Amino acid sequence: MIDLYSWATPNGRKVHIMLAETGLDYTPHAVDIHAGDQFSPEFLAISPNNRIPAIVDRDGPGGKPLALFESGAILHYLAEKTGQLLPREGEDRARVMEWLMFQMGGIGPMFGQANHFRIYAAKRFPEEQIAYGRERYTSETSRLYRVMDKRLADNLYFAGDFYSIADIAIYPWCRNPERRGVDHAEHPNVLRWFNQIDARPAVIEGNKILEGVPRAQLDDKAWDIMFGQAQYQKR
Amino acid sequence: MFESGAILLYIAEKSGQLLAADGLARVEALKWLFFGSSQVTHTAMQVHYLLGRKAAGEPHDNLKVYAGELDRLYGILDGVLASRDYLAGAEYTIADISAWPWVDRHQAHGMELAPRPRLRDWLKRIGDRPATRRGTDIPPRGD
Ligand SMILES: N[C@@H](CCC(=O)N[C@@H](CS)C(=O)NCC(=O)O)C(=O)O
Repeated sequence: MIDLYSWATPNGRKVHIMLAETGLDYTPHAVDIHAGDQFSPEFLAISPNNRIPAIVDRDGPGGKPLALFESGAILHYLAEKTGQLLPREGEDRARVMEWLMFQMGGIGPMFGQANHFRIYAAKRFPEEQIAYGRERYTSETSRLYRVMDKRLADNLYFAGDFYSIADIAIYPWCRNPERRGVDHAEHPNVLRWFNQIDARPAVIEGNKILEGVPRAQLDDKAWDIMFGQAQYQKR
Repeated sequence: MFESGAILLYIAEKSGQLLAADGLARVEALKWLFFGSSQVTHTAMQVHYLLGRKAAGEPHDNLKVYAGELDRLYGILDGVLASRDYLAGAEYTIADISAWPWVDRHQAHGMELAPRPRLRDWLKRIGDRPATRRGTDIPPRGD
């Protein structure tokens, strides 16, 4: 049995989809990151970086409970545990890790910053304070989209001709592209890939569980928790 | 292959070194490898980039925000090192390699190590390894 601590965000979504794909039994626990649930001592004991997603696998290595954070590490762990969605060796394995890391180090942080400046900061700060960040991260996002589209021009999926944890990691970040100033029509290969993933039964199931979780409306208190004093207070 | 974290993992698996084959030690190493390759690397890169703009007299809005976030991440690293010599446990792994070069630049990035004694000791412990010396001297530092 696995406990999943998450919220309706791209990084949370990855793990819901992975658990649905692998058919592992799990209990979801909501961590409302706008209310500050991520700073509770119980959650910090599992995820010291106060970020969702995190899991506790009661049947971890050696039969002992295992607490784990970082979505990429969770996907990798569940893939090794089940022997699914990550080839055991060879070039295929290397390609999966390459594109998984590309998501973790590139797509996630850059698209996330684009969201921050275009949506959250835009509602709070005057134009001159956000213009630079918005331009930089919007340009980075389109640059990354061009890399992705090129990759998918020659490959059905990111790692090659097979579906893997790399696709699971990237897919949630390609939902609602207009929020980041992206038009999928300009990236036909990404669009083709996205529609294919979006229609997978496990993806539909993973997405369904998160329906009804409110989309971030950042009032002053939530802003403070996510990006202000509460976030940076010494713990 | 590209992506430094993926390359580290590939070489570890190819050589059978710096990453346990199974068990908790392996999971811990992967967890901190992802933390190093995504959180630490991304944030340090933003600080690095904005400091470069500052030095060139160009706008560098948000430098303080990213520096604050980097300092918070230093705190997380210092915290995990309270109970262990290396990020993943008693053994040196690719997780340490993913974070070390960025922490090594703490001075350039305006980060204080004095309040983070365990991170400071870890930095030195790894910096003293002959392989770290060889790896950081070639190619010669131009940055
Ligand atoms: N590299 C991490 C990033 C996780 C992350 O940024 N989580 C966000 C939501 S998507 C969060 O928990 N934010 C809470 C906070 O900033 O306090 C991962 O992939 O797991």
